[in-house]
Amino acid sequence: MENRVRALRTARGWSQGELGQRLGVSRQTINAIETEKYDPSLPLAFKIARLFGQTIEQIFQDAS
Amino acid sequence: MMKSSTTRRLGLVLVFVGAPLLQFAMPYANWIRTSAAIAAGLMLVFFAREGIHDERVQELKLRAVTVAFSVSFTLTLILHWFLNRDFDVTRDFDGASMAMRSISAFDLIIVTMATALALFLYWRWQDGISDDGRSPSTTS
Repeated sequence: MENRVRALRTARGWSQGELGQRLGVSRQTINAIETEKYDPSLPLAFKIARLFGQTIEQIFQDAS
Repeated sequence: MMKSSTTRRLGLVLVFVGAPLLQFAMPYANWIRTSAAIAAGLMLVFFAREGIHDERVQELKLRAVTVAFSVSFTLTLILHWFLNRDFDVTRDFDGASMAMRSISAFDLIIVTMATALALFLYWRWQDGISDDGRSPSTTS
């Protein structure tokens, strides 16, 4: 699944660690999401969307 | 509830201090006793909660232990075949000589937990590497 997490994070000038802290996950987990090695659960996707003030569909796109 | 770091430290102490003491400092060295200590220690280390125990950690741990069980059970069967030329894992000892003809359950746990730990740490390390191969500390 493609996502815009990295673009949204860097636009706010946050490090992966900072974003992880705001979401309650580790820096490695943020990196795994940004590099598309890992698709977050629905609750975490909602948290990410809420934090960036966007909908889940605006951040995560189905690659197929 | 015990803190995650305490659980991990207890496991490491069991593996690196408890097990050698049991094997070399006690009278009548007994591998089964030692392997039980190592198995318990590795289980404590693997199942200890991480500093940030998020959903990715849970997923990787579950995946690591699933792969590790398959790997270790296959290794056990292969080893058993080499020792006995059959797959009858219910026959642990040679009746006449009492020679061990298969690995014990504690040995199986040691192989499983060591494999699971190695896989988990490797995948976690890979999670920290960005697309361009930069180390975690330099990824902004």
